Amino acid sequence: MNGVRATIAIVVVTNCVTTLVQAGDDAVTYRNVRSITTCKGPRGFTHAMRGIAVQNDLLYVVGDQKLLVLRTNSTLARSWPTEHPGNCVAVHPDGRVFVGEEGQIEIFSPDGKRSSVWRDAERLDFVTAIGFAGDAVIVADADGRCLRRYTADGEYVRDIGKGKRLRGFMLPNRYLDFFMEDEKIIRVADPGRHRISRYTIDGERLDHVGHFATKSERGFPGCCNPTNIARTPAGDIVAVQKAPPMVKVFGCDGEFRTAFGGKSFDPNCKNSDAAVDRAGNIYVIDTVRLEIVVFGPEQPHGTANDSEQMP
Amino acid sequence: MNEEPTRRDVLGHAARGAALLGMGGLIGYLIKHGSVEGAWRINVDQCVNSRLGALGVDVCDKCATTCVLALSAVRAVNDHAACGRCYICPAYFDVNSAINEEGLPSAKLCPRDAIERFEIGWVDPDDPANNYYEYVIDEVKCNGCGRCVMACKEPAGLSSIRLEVRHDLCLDCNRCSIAQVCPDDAYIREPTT
Repeated sequence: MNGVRATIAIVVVTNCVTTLVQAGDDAVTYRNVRSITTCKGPRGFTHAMRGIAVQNDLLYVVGDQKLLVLRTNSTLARSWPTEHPGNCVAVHPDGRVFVGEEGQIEIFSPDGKRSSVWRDAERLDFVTAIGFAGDAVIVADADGRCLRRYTADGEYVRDIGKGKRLRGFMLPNRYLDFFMEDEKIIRVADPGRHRISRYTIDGERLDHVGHFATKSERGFPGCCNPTNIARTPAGDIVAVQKAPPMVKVFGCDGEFRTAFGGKSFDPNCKNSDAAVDRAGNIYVIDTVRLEIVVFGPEQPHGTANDSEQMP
Repeated sequence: MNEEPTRRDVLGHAARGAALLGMGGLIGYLIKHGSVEGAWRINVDQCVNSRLGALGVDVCDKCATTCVLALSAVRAVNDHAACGRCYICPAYFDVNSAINEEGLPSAKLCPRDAIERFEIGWVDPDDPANNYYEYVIDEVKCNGCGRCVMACKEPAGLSSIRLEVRHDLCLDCNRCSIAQVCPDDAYIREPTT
């Protein structure tokens, strides 16, 4: 009973309708459907909220020294502490929860019992993203400026993005993010080069999309963008930028689709992790307000406006 | 004629000696503590150009325009240990200018062209985005206008550039003209140790 009361007590969902910037006639557009504020507060996060993942209609969020599991209706399903502040979280298809931290990865069972810790002082310096490709576990080490490939048992295999003529990703903001396009291909954000690059899990560099731009929404501004990326069920690329914070969607071939969300974030937001659920809803962390901003897809030909309305 | 000093004389001399000693000590104390020795300093957490969270505001160039010196004693300083060595530095380039054929902003931000950009380390001849760059501020040209400081501020940059008072140039005025007009009370006088 107490648990139910506690859950209800921290659930505050702010409904608002923001949105759209622009999109082509046949493009999917997005609108800000709500902000999940349940993660903020004494039972949630008080200082930092850094990583988010979605699986089976559950949101996994890490920050401070804890992990929160939220239902998509924003109620708290469960939570547990982590040894160090989590930078990122990923859920293995078998249900295990991987939390990337400074110097290590903690692995939990679905109910929050810690089953294992991978420590590798040289290769897991600052873990900011984790992904799975069959038996391989791909880890982003921001301080090492590359991806590390491990076996499912935690045995190091190789670096990706560094070595030979590859000098590592350019990460002035100490954050490296990627997603698995399929079991062989990795899409990785390279913010210092204003690109999103493709690599094989064997370390071969394939190609990249994205370019520097300030006045056009089709490129990325500032010193280092995009900082975070995710993949929609349709295979589109969701790229989150800072200064100003904004979400941009590109096709898998790099074709610009839409940009939105500028007014939904605190302008000081940076390194805002993103995740996409099966319905195509995009969840982005507001790292200053400690909230999750949710954008839902709309059918083509939706009405475009850039104003905020109260519910 | 050879009169023995009386007790009154001895006590009088002793009193005058003690008074002189006391006055000497007092003068010494006043010399040491009576005047405030200090130096002007910019509190970067207060200055609007570098204060985190102050976004969407105009650059304050009071340090450049109100110092009594022809070229202000305030300079921008890049902390190279904190610098991201970015390919496109928003403090070096005017990122709102048109993009040139190399894919870079065509104009520089500094109105006095006081920042120099150098490739460092191994240089990729095919892809300039593959290189690291060092940004060096020319103190002879810089007048402390603060534009680069504002542009480098987080979250757009890494806040590696800040304004500093150059004490070898500062006249150390008691009533510093910059401190008089600083809108954020960021120009402060601190005792020197």
